[in-house]
Amino acid sequence: MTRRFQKLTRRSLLQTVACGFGSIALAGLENANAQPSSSLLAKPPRFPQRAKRIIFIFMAGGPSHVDTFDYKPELFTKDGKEIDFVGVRTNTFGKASKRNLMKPLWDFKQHGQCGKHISSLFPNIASHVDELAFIHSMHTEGVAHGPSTLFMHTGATNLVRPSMGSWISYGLGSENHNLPAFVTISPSTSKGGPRNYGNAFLPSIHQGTALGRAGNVNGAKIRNVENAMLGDSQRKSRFDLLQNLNTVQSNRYSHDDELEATIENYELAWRMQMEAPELTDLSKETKSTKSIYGIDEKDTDDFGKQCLLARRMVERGVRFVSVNYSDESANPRWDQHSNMPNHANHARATDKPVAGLLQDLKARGLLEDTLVWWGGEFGRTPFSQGKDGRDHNPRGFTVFLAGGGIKPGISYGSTDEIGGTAVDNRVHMHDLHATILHAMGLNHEKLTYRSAGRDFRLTDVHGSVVEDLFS
Amino acid sequence: MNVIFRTFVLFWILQLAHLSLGVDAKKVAFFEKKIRPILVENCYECHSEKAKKVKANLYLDTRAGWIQGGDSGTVIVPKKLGQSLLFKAISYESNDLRMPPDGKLSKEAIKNLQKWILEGAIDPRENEMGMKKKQNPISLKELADVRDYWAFKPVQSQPFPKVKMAGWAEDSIDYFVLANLESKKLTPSRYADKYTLLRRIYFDLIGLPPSPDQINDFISDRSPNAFPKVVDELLGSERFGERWGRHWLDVARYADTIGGGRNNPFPNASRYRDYVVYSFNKDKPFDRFVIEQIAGDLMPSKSKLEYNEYLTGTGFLALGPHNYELQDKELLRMEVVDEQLSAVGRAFMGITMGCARCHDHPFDPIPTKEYYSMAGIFRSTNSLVPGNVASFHERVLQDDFGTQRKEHARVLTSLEERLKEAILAVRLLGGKKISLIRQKRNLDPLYLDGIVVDDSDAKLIGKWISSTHTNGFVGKRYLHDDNKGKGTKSITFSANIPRKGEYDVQVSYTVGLNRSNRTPVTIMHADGEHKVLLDQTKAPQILGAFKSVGRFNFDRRVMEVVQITTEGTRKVVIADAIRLVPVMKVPSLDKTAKKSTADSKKNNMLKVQIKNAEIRVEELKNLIVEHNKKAPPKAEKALSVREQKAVGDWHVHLRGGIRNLGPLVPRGFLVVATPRHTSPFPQIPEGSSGRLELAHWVSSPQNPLTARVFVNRAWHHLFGRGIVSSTDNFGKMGSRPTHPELLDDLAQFFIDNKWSIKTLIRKIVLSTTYQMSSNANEKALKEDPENQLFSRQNRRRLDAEAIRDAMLLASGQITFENSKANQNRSLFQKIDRNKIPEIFTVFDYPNPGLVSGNRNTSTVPTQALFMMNSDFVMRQAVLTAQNIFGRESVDVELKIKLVFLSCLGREPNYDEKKLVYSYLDQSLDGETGSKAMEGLVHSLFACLDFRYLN
Repeated sequence: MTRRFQKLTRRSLLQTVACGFGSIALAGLENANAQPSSSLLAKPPRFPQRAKRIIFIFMAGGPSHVDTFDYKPELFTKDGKEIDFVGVRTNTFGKASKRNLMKPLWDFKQHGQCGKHISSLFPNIASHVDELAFIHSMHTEGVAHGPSTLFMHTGATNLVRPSMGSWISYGLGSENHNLPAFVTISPSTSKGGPRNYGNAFLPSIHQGTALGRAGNVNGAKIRNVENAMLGDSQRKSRFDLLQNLNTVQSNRYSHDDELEATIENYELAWRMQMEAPELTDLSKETKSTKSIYGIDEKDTDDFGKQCLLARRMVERGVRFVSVNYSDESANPRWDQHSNMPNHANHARATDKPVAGLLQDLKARGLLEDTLVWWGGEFGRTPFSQGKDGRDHNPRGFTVFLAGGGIKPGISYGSTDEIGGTAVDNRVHMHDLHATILHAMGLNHEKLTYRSAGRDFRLTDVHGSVVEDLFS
Repeated sequence: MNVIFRTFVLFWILQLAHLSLGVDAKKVAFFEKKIRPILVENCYECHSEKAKKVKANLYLDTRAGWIQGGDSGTVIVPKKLGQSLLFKAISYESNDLRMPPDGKLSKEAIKNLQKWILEGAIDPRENEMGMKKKQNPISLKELADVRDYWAFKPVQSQPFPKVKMAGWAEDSIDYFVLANLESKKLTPSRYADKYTLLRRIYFDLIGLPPSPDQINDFISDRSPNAFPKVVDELLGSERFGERWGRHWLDVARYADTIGGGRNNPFPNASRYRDYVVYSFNKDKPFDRFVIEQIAGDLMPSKSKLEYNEYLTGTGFLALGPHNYELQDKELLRMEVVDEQLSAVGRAFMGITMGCARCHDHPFDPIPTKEYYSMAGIFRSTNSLVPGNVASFHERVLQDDFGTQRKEHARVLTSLEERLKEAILAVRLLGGKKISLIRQKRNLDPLYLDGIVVDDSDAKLIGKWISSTHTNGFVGKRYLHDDNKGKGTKSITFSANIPRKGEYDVQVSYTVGLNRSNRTPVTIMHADGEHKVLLDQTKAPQILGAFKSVGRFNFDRRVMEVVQITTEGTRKVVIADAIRLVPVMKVPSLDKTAKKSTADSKKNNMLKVQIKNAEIRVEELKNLIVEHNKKAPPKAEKALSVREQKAVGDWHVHLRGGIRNLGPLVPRGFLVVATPRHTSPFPQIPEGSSGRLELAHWVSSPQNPLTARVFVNRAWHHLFGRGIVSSTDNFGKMGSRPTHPELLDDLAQFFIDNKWSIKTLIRKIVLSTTYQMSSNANEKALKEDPENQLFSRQNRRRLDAEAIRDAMLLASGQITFENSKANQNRSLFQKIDRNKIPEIFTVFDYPNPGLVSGNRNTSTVPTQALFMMNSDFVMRQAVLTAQNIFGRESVDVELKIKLVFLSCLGREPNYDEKKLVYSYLDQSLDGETGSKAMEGLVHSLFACLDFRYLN
């Protein structure tokens, strides 16, 4: 159908208005983005695609893996023992020092068919353990929040590079032409801020659309789809005047694709005004749906809403959704340099919403082709910092994946016996990026964009796909 | 070097020969059976004679190959597993070096290779031996070839081509364009109409539309000089620099914040921005503009103003978007060098250097060695202020107050000395407490009563960070714990208590919301210890610095009295100073006076003395206050760089690894862009970085790139597409010039006219080519749809700044009085790299972290939504409607004409009038009159002819 409309001129398009804006919008989009690189039109993946869309649940600050998912019995027995440590921070770089191990602050129990050990911090997520694939051998670049957060999102600690969501938008486009392909919910403006969802040198259409502020998703809307100053009839009469003027003006010129595209974008925008407000309107969700996400409960309300919004988006064809458990402070939420018991608060705020999301996706048949990725920018050290804190640990940490063709109920790779460094089947953040692109049907070595005379990749010249994670 | 290398190889070959004497056939068989297949299957694709492209200069298909090693050195040391890079790579233990790249070898294969190396790495492939030639640097033959590439050829003046329609051509430009068209049997488009031309030249030269009056003047001026007159007016306008300066700021990746993990501001970046605007308005020769930005700090200057101008130019080098909190500072240093090198390469010469950081440039003749020749120059430049979160340099500008500032400080010091003496005098006489002098930022412990112990005299445990950020501290600084290492840090204050008694113990700190509200303070007094929790988010009341933590008894001795720790705190802990103020139970002077008349006389005398001393103190205090009122202004600063204390050549970083040092290379330039018979290695004076020499090399008329790149940028801004469409890349991966002779003609003209930008622009816009209509004739549209041949002007979408400024001008939010700059203009909006204004992002503002000479022009629905619904557009429509329709005694028809002139730079045509009247008629039923007028303006802002330059 779109192909038929492509050939139509602007004038005949306007005459077919009765057929509905949808058709025009589609024709418009196809035309508007004649250049494939700057189009959001859904593109076929390079090879069989396991996941069609992805939800990234970002745990900002670095949750401790040894207190959550990476069970280390020896750490319990070696509590207080002195170990040698080589520093990674500026003032301790390369210096050896002695540190004291600190046992996990929570008990571990086995869960599910797979018998996975999970700490008491995540009782709800634990009930889905048979759906999850843990990677315990993660390691990454950078040791401060800024560089590592940027590295996780863009594959670079310092240089300006496109975010992973932008790469995926560029590679696959959107399944819904009235909505953006890449949305980030409640992102923080610190630790790299918008660079974490920026398009860098990719066409700007691939930039992530930010929704809501860090720590507060209430009332979040896609910008400029509503107009508080005008009534419906005013909007309509202005829109008609505008499009009539545009038609008169474009008729005076020799044919110009760009002018046509501009006119057609107005038609598309008109239609988005109808669809986008509905996207962020949670009022139509049932009470029982809301309750599995912990919405309307004090501790889980905000993050529950974020997770529910994420489901609504993937359901409507948004390709990449980031859900951010973050804030604007210098020490992000999971960053317990002291007072590790605080982890309990963060677990409480996120456990039920994440479990609710998994449950809801599964119930709606979305989990099969939606990849869920849970994780932070790094993990935390097995030794203590101060009385009861843990420092950043980029050398070994845990993330989990679910859905989207990932083998369920497995644990891949491991850290050493105390959870300090990834040792077995090590997975670098570049490898994780390559693996996720692979799940989306994209080859991380072929997904390139030429900028300043060079072909860039999300994984630079690194990364290998962890094939063992796929069923 | 070469000799040593050969000797080394020979040594190994002899070693191996020696070893192989005793080798039994078993080991060879093991190699053939187990090892060779692994190498063939997994390594030869990239590391053999037969490889399409040999990676890292490493060959594994001969024994000599691995003995010689690759870029990273020897890869196998027989019997030494730990020293064998190859084994490290296959074991996947390092992130940087993992081979084969697409997956780890099987466990068995790794075990076999391990065994093979441990047993001496016997490799029988001797007859296959043959030394491979290293690639680097470019051979003479190759150099001759690459010099022949168009962009590296010297700029040459070009003869005018012959044309048939000679009457059409005004300028040399027209000859080159027309000759090309005629050879394709195409004809140029007609002249643009006067309205279109005026709107075009206004936006192109000053980024703003003409006013209705300016339009009427131009239309009614029928003299042949009407257009040149407008051009000269606009080139002379202060608005010119605001437009063309902005183009340069794109290239300079200008922003007001760093935009890394921590988005700290560049407080003085705007000085660089204003310098750029000023340079364009002054028509500074472009070659000098280049030198100032690369090495302004090293240029000799004739005046303070000149010094400041040059120094400010170097802001260019400091504007990179770095992540200053990167903890590996050696890596950060190299990232800065790389960014500077890349920025200089792209901005001035349209070449991409970045690739050569790790390997010879795959497309352009930039060998890694030359990259590090240039990197040596920037490594010899100091761009970083060290620190846990490092920072950029800001350097003090010169002004006329230098001597005054010194003199002022001298007088101030002497006044303060006298004051101290006067205060002491009062104390010695036993007078009452003297209230201290509150200096601007801090309290001087000397003026404080009681026993004061500053942090500088305290015992510190753990890492405390020194700061002067928040005012109101004691002494020269205060300390904070950086909110890290909670529970591991403490600070202990000892005091020399002169007299046994009760003291009020006070702790000073600087207040802030990020502070700990439960800072543990322990007082160790004569009767034991007492712990209190101090709320450092609440302002201390005593003298704005101290908070009392209670009264305690102390014995006469030297002892530890107060300890502050970070235990159990969640936020920043501040430690500054403490003081012990004796709790006075001494009888007052008045009471004593009553004791006896004998004493009374004495006391009266004492009273007078005290009174006099106190008056003296007051006088001095007033003098200081008065003196400070006359203080000269603070010295201004500019974003800049410095020369490194230790300058010198630097090593090649093998495969880009910052700690993988290869040979030292002399500082120098790109060979291919250096004229034949000229050395690419300059004479760099002792102690200099070589930046000044680099600046002169870049800006030389003999540099084949610099002039071409700039004239092409100018063309790009006036036609919407460069003669080379890839404005930032003149290399092999960029596009070729559509009119190479024209490009050279312009470049030569530019150089001949002392690199005058205004002269260049004037030449281009007065050409017939520039003044053509953007409407194509049918033949041209069919045969050259993309207008490669410039048979017409290009229709161009206004950029974000022009769209915004045009609306603000119509709504009266921007006006220019006495030709002064208006800070509402888009150019002056703060560019926070992490928070770019919405209208900018919607209309393709470039990423301010990247050099960008060619903005995207996207057409996306977010633009439509923005124009239809954003508060900004709605507000400007309301104000514009008030502006125009609010005028009394003007009839509606004239108002409609005015609103078209203001928004679209022309009068409405017949069809538009009809639409507008019909809209107004319909709307008046539903909307009030003014709302309908707003609707008209709103629709005009959103329509095609507003957004496009025809």
